[in-house]
Amino acid sequence: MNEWLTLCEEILTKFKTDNNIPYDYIRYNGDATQLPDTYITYFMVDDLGKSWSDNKEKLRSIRIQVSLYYRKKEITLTIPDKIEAAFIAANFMRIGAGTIPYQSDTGHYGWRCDFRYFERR
Amino acid sequence: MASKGWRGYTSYGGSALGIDFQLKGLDEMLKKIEKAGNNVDNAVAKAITQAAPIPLKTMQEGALRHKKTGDVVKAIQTGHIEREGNYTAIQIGIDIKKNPEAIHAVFQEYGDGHSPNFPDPFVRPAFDENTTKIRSIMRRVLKSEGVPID
Repeated sequence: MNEWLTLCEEILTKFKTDNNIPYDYIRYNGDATQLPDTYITYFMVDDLGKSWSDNKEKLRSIRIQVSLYYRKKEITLTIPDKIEAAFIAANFMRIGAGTIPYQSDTGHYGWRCDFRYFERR
Repeated sequence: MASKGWRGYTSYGGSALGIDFQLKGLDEMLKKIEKAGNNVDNAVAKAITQAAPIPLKTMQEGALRHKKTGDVVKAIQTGHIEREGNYTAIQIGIDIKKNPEAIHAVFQEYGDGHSPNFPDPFVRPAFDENTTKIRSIMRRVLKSEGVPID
C-alpha cells in the first residue's frame, strides 16, 4: 500500500474514534438515502513524479482531497479545523480549502480541503 | 507559476472551477526585457496565451469522460489576459456563474460523497500534470521575444 494511503487511513480511523465521524475511501458506500448526517471521504486528485535517478522514480507528489459532508451547519465551526490539524500533524501540507455545493437530494453541505504529500520511492 | 482566483472566488472556494496561471519573478524579468528593448506586457501576454491551450485541452478531455449533454465541455473556456500591476494571468476553466448548466462539473471535480462515477477530477490535474509543458512553452516564447532567460 502507498504510504499516503496508509497515513490517511490511520488519521481518519483515529478521527472516527475521537469525533464519531465515519469515513470512506473515494465515496461513501451505500444507499444515498441512508447516508450519515456527517461523514468524511478522501481520494487522490493526482500523483506526479517529481524526481528520478538511474531511470527510477525517487520522489512523488501526491495531492489528495479530504471532503466533509454534513447536514448541521454548526459542524463547520469545529470539524474542518480538526481535520486540517490532523493531516498537518501527519506531515501533509495544506494546499487550500473550499466548499462543495449543497446537495438537495441528500441534504448535505460540503467542505473540502486539498493536501499534498511527498513520498520517497 | 501559481494558481489564483476566479473572479472573486478563490480557486478552492465557492463553486469555482478554474485555474489561473501567471509568471512569477516578473520584476527581475522585466528589467531584462526592458534592457532588451522589447514590450514587456506583450511578451508576457504572448507567453501565457500560447501556453493556455495545453491545460485547456486536458480539461476538455477530462470533461469528455462524463459527457452527457456537452454543457461542461462547452463551458470550459480560456478567458482574456488580465493585468494588475506586475500580475498577468489568464483564466482557464468553467465560470459556473456564467454557465450554471455546467454545475455537475463541480461534483465531477470535487465529488459529492456518494455517486458511483464521482469524483473524477479534471481541472486540478490539467494544471499539475502540464506544468513542465507550460513552462517550456513560456520559456520558448519569452526567448523568442528577446528575453534573456538562460
